[in-house]
Amino acid sequence: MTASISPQKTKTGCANCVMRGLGLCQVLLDLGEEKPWSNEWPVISQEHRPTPARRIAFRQGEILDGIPVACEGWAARMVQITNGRRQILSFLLPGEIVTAALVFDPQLRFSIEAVTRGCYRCFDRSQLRHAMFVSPAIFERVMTASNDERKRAEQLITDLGRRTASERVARLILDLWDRLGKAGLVDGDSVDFPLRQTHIAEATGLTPVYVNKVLGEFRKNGLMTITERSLQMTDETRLRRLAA
Amino acid sequence: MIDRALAREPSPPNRIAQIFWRAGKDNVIRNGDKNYLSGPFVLCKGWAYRFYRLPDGRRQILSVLIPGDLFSAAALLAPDSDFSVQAATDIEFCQLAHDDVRQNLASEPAIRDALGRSCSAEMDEAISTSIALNHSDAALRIASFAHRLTRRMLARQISIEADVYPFHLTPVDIADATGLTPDDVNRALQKLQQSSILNIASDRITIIDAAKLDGFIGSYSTI
Repeated sequence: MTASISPQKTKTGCANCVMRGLGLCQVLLDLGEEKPWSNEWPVISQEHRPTPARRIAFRQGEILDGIPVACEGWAARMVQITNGRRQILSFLLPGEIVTAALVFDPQLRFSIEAVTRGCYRCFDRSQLRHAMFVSPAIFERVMTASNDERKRAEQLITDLGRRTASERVARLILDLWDRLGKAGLVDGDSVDFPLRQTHIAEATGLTPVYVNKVLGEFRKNGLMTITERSLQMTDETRLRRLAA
Repeated sequence: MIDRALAREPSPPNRIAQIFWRAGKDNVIRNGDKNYLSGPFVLCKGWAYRFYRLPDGRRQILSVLIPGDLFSAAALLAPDSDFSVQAATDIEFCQLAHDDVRQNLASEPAIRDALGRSCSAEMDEAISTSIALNHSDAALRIASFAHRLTRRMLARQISIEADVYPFHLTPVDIADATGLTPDDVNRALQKLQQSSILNIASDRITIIDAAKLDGFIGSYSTI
Protein backbone atom coordinates (compact mmCIF):
# COMPACT_ATOMS: atom_id res chain seq x y z
CA MET A 1 0.00 0.00 0.00
CA THR A 2 1.29 3.48 -0.68
CA ALA A 3 1.87 5.87 2.08
CA SER A 4 -0.09 9.07 2.28
CA ILE A 5 -2.59 11.40 0.72
CA SER A 6 0.31 13.12 -1.05
CA PRO A 7 1.36 10.16 -3.18
CA GLN A 8 3.56 12.13 -5.54
CA LYS A 9 5.96 12.80 -2.65
CA THR A 10 5.91 9.24 -1.33
CA LYS A 11 7.66 6.02 -2.15
CA THR A 12 5.20 3.39 -3.25
CA GLY A 13 4.95 -0.04 -1.65
CA CYS A 14 3.23 -1.44 1.40
CA ALA A 15 6.39 -1.37 3.50
CA ASN A 16 6.24 2.45 3.47
CA CYS A 17 2.53 2.74 4.17
CA VAL A 18 1.67 4.73 7.26
CA MET A 19 -1.78 3.06 7.21
CA ARG A 20 -0.38 -0.41 7.51
CA GLY A 21 -0.84 -0.70 11.25
CA LEU A 22 -4.47 0.35 11.15
CA GLY A 23 -6.62 -1.81 9.00
CA LEU A 24 -7.23 -5.07 7.30
CA CYS A 25 -4.10 -4.79 5.20
CA GLN A 26 -1.92 -5.42 8.22
CA VAL A 27 -3.61 -8.72 8.91
CA LEU A 28 -3.74 -9.80 5.30
CA LEU A 29 -0.20 -8.88 4.44
CA ASP A 30 1.47 -9.91 7.70
CA LEU A 31 -0.38 -13.19 7.88
CA GLY A 32 0.18 -13.62 4.18
CA GLU A 33 3.90 -13.61 4.76
CA GLU A 34 3.51 -16.17 7.54
CA LYS A 35 1.09 -18.29 5.45
CA PRO A 36 -0.96 -19.44 8.44
CA TRP A 37 -3.76 -21.05 6.46
CA SER A 38 -1.87 -23.04 3.83
CA ASN A 39 1.07 -22.94 1.51
CA GLU A 40 -1.14 -22.54 -1.52
CA TRP A 41 -0.86 -18.75 -1.75
CA PRO A 42 2.19 -16.76 -0.67
CA VAL A 43 -0.10 -13.72 -0.40
CA ILE A 44 -3.70 -13.13 -1.32
CA SER A 45 -3.59 -11.85 -4.88
CA GLN A 46 -4.39 -8.21 -5.43
CA GLU A 47 -4.91 -5.67 -8.14
CA HIS A 48 -4.60 -1.91 -7.94
CA ARG A 49 -7.34 0.37 -9.21
CA PRO A 50 -6.53 4.10 -9.48
CA THR A 51 -9.56 6.44 -9.51
CA PRO A 52 -9.74 10.12 -10.48
CA ALA A 53 -11.41 12.60 -8.13
CA ARG A 54 -15.21 12.92 -8.18
CA ARG A 55 -15.69 9.63 -10.07
CA ILE A 56 -17.56 6.54 -8.97
CA ALA A 57 -14.91 3.92 -8.11
CA PHE A 58 -17.42 1.14 -7.33
CA ARG A 59 -21.11 1.30 -8.14
CA GLN A 60 -24.12 0.47 -5.96
CA GLY A 61 -25.42 -3.01 -6.94
CA GLU A 62 -22.13 -4.00 -8.61
CA ILE A 63 -20.95 -7.60 -8.07
CA LEU A 64 -17.28 -7.50 -7.04
CA ASP A 65 -14.74 -10.32 -7.36
CA GLY A 66 -12.27 -8.33 -5.30
CA ILE A 67 -12.58 -6.76 -1.86
CA PRO A 68 -11.23 -3.21 -2.11
CA VAL A 69 -9.18 -1.46 0.55
CA ALA A 70 -8.46 2.24 0.10
CA CYS A 71 -4.73 2.94 -0.23
CA GLU A 72 -4.80 6.63 -1.08
CA GLY A 73 -7.31 9.45 -1.19
CA TRP A 74 -10.67 10.16 0.38
CA ALA A 75 -13.96 8.66 -0.80
CA ALA A 76 -17.62 8.61 0.21
CA ARG A 77 -19.86 5.60 0.77
CA MET A 78 -22.97 6.94 -0.93
CA VAL A 79 -26.47 5.77 -1.84
CA GLN A 80 -28.54 7.21 -4.67
CA ILE A 81 -32.20 7.60 -3.75
CA THR A 82 -35.12 7.24 -6.18
CA ASN A 83 -36.18 10.89 -5.90
CA GLY A 84 -32.77 12.01 -7.18
CA ARG A 85 -31.25 12.85 -3.80
CA ARG A 86 -28.06 11.30 -2.49
CA GLN A 87 -27.08 10.26 1.00
CA ILE A 88 -23.50 9.81 2.18
CA LEU A 89 -23.37 6.99 4.72
CA SER A 90 -19.76 7.61 5.79
CA PHE A 91 -16.37 8.62 4.47
CA LEU A 92 -13.66 6.16 3.51
CA LEU A 93 -10.10 7.07 4.51
CA PRO A 94 -6.79 5.47 3.49
CA GLY A 95 -6.21 2.05 5.04
CA GLU A 96 -9.93 1.22 5.42
CA ILE A 97 -11.82 -1.65 3.80
CA VAL A 98 -14.69 -0.47 1.55
CA THR A 99 -17.06 -2.72 3.50
CA ALA A 100 -16.57 -5.98 5.39
CA ALA A 101 -19.98 -7.13 4.09
CA LEU A 102 -18.33 -7.90 0.73
CA VAL A 103 -16.57 -10.87 2.31
CA PHE A 104 -19.95 -12.53 2.74
CA ASP A 105 -21.95 -11.06 -0.14
CA PRO A 106 -20.30 -9.85 -3.39
CA GLN A 107 -23.00 -7.28 -4.19
CA LEU A 108 -22.12 -3.74 -3.11
CA ARG A 109 -25.00 -2.05 -1.25
CA PHE A 110 -23.77 1.51 -1.92
CA SER A 111 -21.46 3.36 -4.30
CA ILE A 112 -17.92 4.48 -3.55
CA GLU A 113 -17.40 7.97 -4.93
CA ALA A 114 -13.88 9.37 -4.92
CA VAL A 115 -13.62 12.73 -3.15
CA THR A 116 -9.96 13.10 -4.17
CA ARG A 117 -7.78 11.12 -6.55
CA GLY A 118 -7.39 7.69 -5.01
CA CYS A 119 -6.15 4.16 -5.37
CA TYR A 120 -7.64 0.88 -4.17
CA ARG A 121 -6.01 -2.49 -3.52
CA CYS A 122 -8.56 -5.20 -4.39
CA PHE A 123 -7.98 -8.52 -2.59
CA ASP A 124 -9.25 -11.64 -4.33
CA ARG A 125 -12.58 -12.39 -2.66
CA SER A 126 -12.54 -16.20 -2.90
CA GLN A 127 -9.00 -16.41 -1.53
CA LEU A 128 -9.82 -14.04 1.30
CA ARG A 129 -12.93 -16.08 2.19
CA HIS A 130 -10.86 -19.26 2.24
CA ALA A 131 -8.21 -17.63 4.42
CA MET A 132 -10.93 -16.34 6.76
CA PHE A 133 -12.47 -19.80 7.14
CA VAL A 134 -9.08 -21.30 8.01
CA SER A 135 -7.71 -18.47 10.12
CA PRO A 136 -9.70 -17.27 13.17
CA ALA A 137 -7.42 -14.19 13.31
CA ILE A 138 -8.58 -13.03 9.88
CA PHE A 139 -12.19 -13.83 10.76
CA GLU A 140 -11.96 -11.76 13.95
CA ARG A 141 -10.43 -8.84 12.02
CA VAL A 142 -13.29 -8.95 9.52
CA MET A 143 -15.80 -9.06 12.40
CA THR A 144 -14.14 -6.04 14.02
CA ALA A 145 -14.39 -4.11 10.74
CA SER A 146 -18.03 -5.17 10.48
CA ASN A 147 -18.77 -4.00 14.03
CA ASP A 148 -17.06 -0.65 13.38
CA GLU A 149 -19.32 -0.20 10.32
CA ARG A 150 -22.40 -1.02 12.38
CA LYS A 151 -21.43 1.50 15.06
CA ARG A 152 -20.90 4.22 12.45
CA ALA A 153 -24.21 3.39 10.71
CA GLU A 154 -26.07 3.50 14.03
CA GLN A 155 -24.47 6.79 15.01
CA LEU A 156 -25.77 8.17 11.69
CA ILE A 157 -29.26 6.93 12.64
CA THR A 158 -28.93 8.75 15.98
CA ASP A 159 -27.65 11.88 14.20
CA LEU A 160 -30.59 11.97 11.81
CA GLY A 161 -33.17 10.97 14.41
CA ARG A 162 -32.20 12.95 17.46
CA ARG A 163 -29.23 15.29 17.07
CA THR A 164 -29.31 18.98 16.14
CA ALA A 165 -27.54 20.39 13.06
CA SER A 166 -24.58 21.69 15.11
CA GLU A 167 -24.21 18.35 16.91
CA ARG A 168 -24.27 16.41 13.63
CA VAL A 169 -21.60 18.57 11.96
CA ALA A 170 -19.42 18.61 15.08
CA ARG A 171 -19.61 14.82 15.38
CA LEU A 172 -18.74 14.29 11.73
CA ILE A 173 -15.71 16.57 11.95
CA LEU A 174 -14.49 15.02 15.21
CA ASP A 175 -14.92 11.48 13.85
CA LEU A 176 -12.75 12.37 10.83
CA TRP A 177 -10.29 14.28 13.05
CA ASP A 178 -9.86 11.24 15.32
CA ARG A 179 -9.46 8.77 12.43
CA LEU A 180 -6.94 11.02 10.66
CA GLY A 181 -5.12 11.50 13.97
CA LYS A 182 -4.76 7.73 14.41
CA ALA A 183 -3.34 7.58 10.89
CA GLY A 184 -0.74 10.20 11.82
CA LEU A 185 -2.13 12.68 9.29
CA VAL A 186 -2.93 15.49 11.74
CA ASP A 187 -0.20 18.10 11.80
CA GLY A 188 -0.41 20.00 15.09
CA ASP A 189 -3.83 21.61 15.04
CA SER A 190 -4.52 21.26 11.31
CA VAL A 191 -5.17 18.57 8.75
CA ASP A 192 -5.79 18.30 4.97
CA PHE A 193 -9.56 18.41 4.54
CA PRO A 194 -10.83 17.93 0.98
CA LEU A 195 -14.58 17.79 1.76
CA ARG A 196 -16.88 20.44 0.33
CA GLN A 197 -19.94 21.75 2.13
CA THR A 198 -22.15 19.61 -0.15
CA HIS A 199 -20.33 16.50 1.12
CA ILE A 200 -20.95 17.53 4.74
CA ALA A 201 -24.59 18.29 3.91
CA GLU A 202 -25.15 14.89 2.29
CA ALA A 203 -23.49 13.15 5.23
CA THR A 204 -25.56 14.92 7.90
CA GLY A 205 -29.00 15.21 6.28
CA LEU A 206 -28.75 19.01 6.13
CA THR A 207 -28.80 21.51 3.28
CA PRO A 208 -25.51 23.12 2.11
CA VAL A 209 -26.90 26.48 3.23
CA TYR A 210 -27.47 25.15 6.74
CA VAL A 211 -23.99 23.57 6.82
CA ASN A 212 -22.52 26.91 5.77
CA LYS A 213 -24.36 28.60 8.65
CA VAL A 214 -23.19 25.99 11.19
CA LEU A 215 -19.56 26.17 10.04
CA GLY A 216 -19.78 29.97 10.21
CA GLU A 217 -20.93 29.71 13.84
CA PHE A 218 -18.10 27.30 14.66
CA ARG A 219 -15.61 29.76 13.16
CA LYS A 220 -17.17 32.74 14.94
CA ASN A 221 -17.13 30.92 18.28
CA GLY A 222 -13.47 29.93 17.88
CA LEU A 223 -14.06 26.15 17.63
CA MET A 224 -12.61 25.32 14.20
CA THR A 225 -12.14 26.71 10.71
CA ILE A 226 -12.20 25.13 7.26
CA THR A 227 -10.33 27.02 4.54
CA GLU A 228 -8.76 26.01 1.23
CA ARG A 229 -8.91 22.23 1.77
CA SER A 230 -7.53 22.51 5.28
CA LEU A 231 -9.18 22.17 8.70
CA GLN A 232 -7.79 24.02 11.66
CA MET A 233 -8.94 22.92 15.12
CA THR A 234 -8.94 25.84 17.53
CA ASP A 235 -10.92 24.53 20.52
CA GLU A 236 -11.29 20.74 20.42
CA THR A 237 -12.59 20.49 24.00
CA ARG A 238 -15.55 22.80 23.37
CA LEU A 239 -16.29 21.13 20.05
CA ARG A 240 -16.42 17.73 21.80
CA ARG A 241 -18.74 19.15 24.45
CA LEU A 242 -21.03 20.42 21.71
CA ALA A 243 -20.98 17.09 19.83
CA ALA A 244 -23.01 15.25 22.55
CA MET B 1 -30.31 -17.54 11.36
CA ILE B 2 -26.98 -17.48 13.09
CA ASP B 3 -28.41 -18.35 16.51
CA ARG B 4 -29.94 -21.52 15.03
CA ALA B 5 -26.63 -22.34 13.37
CA LEU B 6 -24.80 -21.82 16.66
CA ALA B 7 -27.29 -24.00 18.51
CA ARG B 8 -27.42 -26.93 16.10
CA GLU B 9 -25.99 -30.40 16.78
CA PRO B 10 -23.29 -31.47 17.33
CA SER B 11 -22.69 -28.90 20.00
CA PRO B 12 -21.49 -28.89 23.58
CA PRO B 13 -24.25 -29.43 26.17
CA ASN B 14 -23.34 -26.24 28.08
CA ARG B 15 -23.58 -23.91 25.08
CA ILE B 16 -26.27 -21.76 26.76
CA ALA B 17 -24.54 -20.16 29.72
CA GLN B 18 -27.67 -18.74 31.32
CA ILE B 19 -31.34 -17.95 30.72
CA PHE B 20 -32.79 -14.63 31.93
CA TRP B 21 -36.24 -13.09 32.34
CA ARG B 22 -37.20 -9.43 32.48
CA ALA B 23 -40.51 -7.62 32.84
CA GLY B 24 -41.69 -5.15 30.20
CA LYS B 25 -39.88 -1.75 30.36
CA ASP B 26 -37.00 -3.22 32.39
CA ASN B 27 -33.48 -2.36 31.32
CA VAL B 28 -31.54 -5.36 30.02
CA ILE B 29 -28.18 -3.89 29.02
CA ARG B 30 -26.80 -0.39 29.48
CA ASN B 31 -24.39 1.30 27.08
CA GLY B 32 -20.85 0.42 28.20
CA ASP B 33 -21.82 -2.69 30.17
CA LYS B 34 -19.28 -5.50 30.07
CA ASN B 35 -21.98 -8.23 29.90
CA TYR B 36 -20.73 -9.26 26.50
CA LEU B 37 -17.52 -10.57 28.04
CA SER B 38 -19.43 -13.74 29.04
CA GLY B 39 -21.05 -14.27 25.66
CA PRO B 40 -23.61 -12.95 23.16
CA PHE B 41 -27.35 -12.73 23.87
CA VAL B 42 -30.32 -14.13 21.94
CA LEU B 43 -33.92 -13.02 22.53
CA CYS B 44 -36.12 -16.11 23.00
CA LYS B 45 -39.57 -14.70 23.84
CA GLY B 46 -41.18 -11.25 23.78
CA TRP B 47 -40.05 -7.96 22.24
CA ALA B 48 -37.18 -5.65 23.14
CA TYR B 49 -35.27 -2.86 21.45
CA ARG B 50 -31.70 -1.66 21.17
CA PHE B 51 -31.24 2.06 21.67
CA TYR B 52 -28.69 4.79 22.20
CA ARG B 53 -29.20 7.33 25.00
CA LEU B 54 -27.66 10.78 24.60
CA PRO B 55 -26.16 12.48 27.69
CA ASP B 56 -29.16 14.84 28.00
CA GLY B 57 -31.69 11.97 27.96
CA ARG B 58 -32.72 11.96 24.30
CA ARG B 59 -33.17 8.41 23.03
CA GLN B 60 -32.82 6.87 19.58
CA ILE B 61 -34.13 3.33 19.07
CA LEU B 62 -31.71 1.61 16.70
CA SER B 63 -33.55 -1.66 16.09
CA VAL B 64 -36.48 -3.68 17.37
CA LEU B 65 -35.60 -7.18 18.62
CA ILE B 66 -38.07 -9.99 17.97
CA PRO B 67 -37.79 -13.65 19.09
CA GLY B 68 -34.80 -15.34 17.48
CA ASP B 69 -32.69 -12.15 17.18
CA LEU B 70 -29.16 -11.85 18.45
CA PHE B 71 -28.97 -8.51 20.27
CA SER B 72 -26.40 -7.62 17.61
CA ALA B 73 -24.73 -9.92 15.09
CA ALA B 74 -21.82 -7.58 14.37
CA ALA B 75 -21.12 -7.10 18.09
CA LEU B 76 -20.99 -10.88 18.69
CA LEU B 77 -17.28 -10.88 19.53
CA ALA B 78 -17.16 -7.38 21.02
CA PRO B 79 -16.19 -7.24 24.72
CA ASP B 80 -18.73 -4.55 25.65
CA SER B 81 -21.84 -2.96 24.23
CA ASP B 82 -22.01 0.51 22.71
CA PHE B 83 -25.83 0.40 22.93
CA SER B 84 -28.52 -0.24 25.54
CA VAL B 85 -31.33 -2.80 25.43
CA GLN B 86 -34.76 -2.46 27.06
CA ALA B 87 -37.64 -4.94 27.23
CA ALA B 88 -40.78 -3.78 25.40
CA THR B 89 -42.79 -6.73 26.83
CA ASP B 90 -41.99 -9.44 29.33
CA ILE B 91 -39.04 -11.23 27.76
CA GLU B 92 -36.95 -14.36 28.03
CA PHE B 93 -33.43 -14.29 26.66
CA CYS B 94 -30.33 -16.43 26.88
CA GLN B 95 -26.63 -15.85 26.88
CA LEU B 96 -24.50 -18.21 24.81
CA ALA B 97 -21.19 -19.25 26.31
CA HIS B 98 -18.38 -17.24 24.75
CA ASP B 99 -15.92 -20.14 24.65
CA ASP B 100 -18.43 -22.39 22.90
CA VAL B 101 -19.32 -19.69 20.39
CA ARG B 102 -15.66 -19.11 19.59
CA GLN B 103 -15.04 -22.83 19.34
CA ASN B 104 -17.98 -23.31 16.99
CA LEU B 105 -16.90 -20.34 14.89
CA ALA B 106 -13.35 -21.67 14.71
CA SER B 107 -14.36 -25.19 13.76
CA GLU B 108 -17.30 -24.60 11.44
CA PRO B 109 -16.89 -22.29 8.42
CA ALA B 110 -20.64 -22.52 7.73
CA ILE B 111 -21.32 -20.81 11.06
CA ARG B 112 -18.90 -18.00 10.22
CA ASP B 113 -20.68 -17.59 6.90
CA ALA B 114 -24.08 -17.50 8.62
CA LEU B 115 -22.79 -14.91 11.08
CA GLY B 116 -21.39 -12.84 8.22
CA ARG B 117 -24.74 -12.87 6.45
CA SER B 118 -26.45 -11.78 9.67
CA CYS B 119 -23.97 -8.89 9.93
CA SER B 120 -24.77 -7.90 6.32
CA ALA B 121 -28.51 -8.01 7.06
CA GLU B 122 -27.93 -5.82 10.13
CA MET B 123 -26.04 -3.28 8.02
CA ASP B 124 -28.75 -3.31 5.33
CA GLU B 125 -31.30 -2.60 8.05
CA ALA B 126 -29.20 0.27 9.41
CA ILE B 127 -28.76 1.79 5.93
CA SER B 128 -32.51 1.55 5.23
CA THR B 129 -33.27 3.15 8.58
CA SER B 130 -30.93 6.09 7.99
CA ILE B 131 -32.38 6.64 4.50
CA ALA B 132 -35.91 6.75 5.95
CA LEU B 133 -34.81 9.16 8.70
CA ASN B 134 -33.36 11.49 6.09
CA HIS B 135 -36.88 12.14 4.78
CA SER B 136 -38.96 14.89 6.32
CA ASP B 137 -42.35 13.15 5.81
CA ALA B 138 -43.40 11.53 9.12
CA ALA B 139 -45.85 9.12 7.43
CA LEU B 140 -43.10 7.84 5.13
CA ARG B 141 -40.72 7.29 8.05
CA ILE B 142 -43.35 5.26 9.91
CA ALA B 143 -44.44 3.32 6.81
CA SER B 144 -40.81 2.38 6.15
CA PHE B 145 -40.34 1.34 9.80
CA ALA B 146 -43.49 -0.83 9.72
CA HIS B 147 -42.54 -2.31 6.34
CA ARG B 148 -39.07 -3.40 7.53
CA LEU B 149 -40.44 -4.82 10.78
CA THR B 150 -43.28 -6.81 9.15
CA ARG B 151 -40.92 -8.12 6.47
CA ARG B 152 -38.67 -9.55 9.19
CA MET B 153 -41.66 -11.10 10.98
CA LEU B 154 -42.90 -12.60 7.71
CA ALA B 155 -39.48 -14.19 7.09
CA ARG B 156 -39.70 -15.71 10.57
CA GLN B 157 -43.33 -16.81 10.10
CA ILE B 158 -44.56 -14.57 12.91
CA SER B 159 -48.08 -13.33 12.10
CA ILE B 160 -51.60 -13.29 13.51
CA GLU B 161 -53.22 -13.79 10.11
CA ALA B 162 -52.43 -12.72 6.53
CA ASP B 163 -51.10 -9.13 6.57
CA VAL B 164 -51.72 -8.82 10.32
CA TYR B 165 -48.72 -8.90 12.66
CA PRO B 166 -48.18 -8.51 16.40
CA PHE B 167 -46.89 -5.12 17.55
CA HIS B 168 -45.72 -4.23 21.05
CA LEU B 169 -44.38 -0.67 20.94
CA THR B 170 -45.95 2.52 22.31
CA PRO B 171 -46.30 5.78 20.30
CA VAL B 172 -43.30 7.10 22.30
CA ASP B 173 -41.25 4.08 21.19
CA ILE B 174 -42.29 4.63 17.54
CA ALA B 175 -41.33 8.29 17.89
CA ASP B 176 -37.90 7.35 19.24
CA ALA B 177 -37.39 4.86 16.41
CA THR B 178 -38.35 7.33 13.68
CA GLY B 179 -36.91 10.61 14.99
CA LEU B 180 -40.37 12.14 15.55
CA THR B 181 -42.48 13.39 18.45
CA PRO B 182 -45.41 11.30 19.76
CA ASP B 183 -47.80 13.94 18.32
CA ASP B 184 -46.15 13.58 14.88
CA VAL B 185 -46.57 9.82 15.20
CA ASN B 186 -50.29 10.02 15.99
CA ARG B 187 -50.96 12.39 13.08
CA ALA B 188 -48.91 10.21 10.67
CA LEU B 189 -50.69 7.04 11.79
CA GLN B 190 -54.06 8.70 11.12
CA LYS B 191 -52.84 9.70 7.66
CA LEU B 192 -51.63 6.17 6.88
CA GLN B 193 -54.95 4.71 8.01
CA GLN B 194 -57.02 7.27 6.06
CA SER B 195 -54.89 6.54 2.96
CA SER B 196 -55.70 2.81 3.41
CA ILE B 197 -52.00 1.90 3.66
CA LEU B 198 -51.62 0.46 7.16
CA ASN B 199 -53.06 0.61 10.62
CA ILE B 200 -51.32 0.25 14.00
CA ALA B 201 -53.70 -0.35 16.91
CA SER B 202 -54.42 -2.83 19.69
CA ASP B 203 -51.04 -4.53 19.70
CA ARG B 204 -51.11 -5.28 15.99
CA ILE B 205 -50.03 -3.89 12.61
CA THR B 206 -52.46 -4.43 9.77
CA ILE B 207 -51.16 -3.92 6.24
CA ILE B 208 -54.33 -2.67 4.56
CA ASP B 209 -52.91 -2.48 1.03
CA ALA B 210 -49.46 -4.05 0.51
CA ALA B 211 -49.09 -2.71 -3.06
CA LYS B 212 -49.91 0.82 -1.90
CA LEU B 213 -47.37 0.48 0.95
CA ASP B 214 -44.67 -0.70 -1.47
CA GLY B 215 -45.47 2.18 -3.83
CA PHE B 216 -45.39 4.75 -1.02
CA ILE B 217 -42.01 3.57 0.26
CA GLY B 218 -40.62 2.99 -3.23
CA SER B 219 -40.88 6.70 -3.93
CA TYR B 220 -38.04 7.15 -1.44
CA SER B 221 -35.68 4.20 -1.41
CA THR B 222 -32.31 3.34 -2.89
CA ILE B 223 -32.07 2.82 -6.64
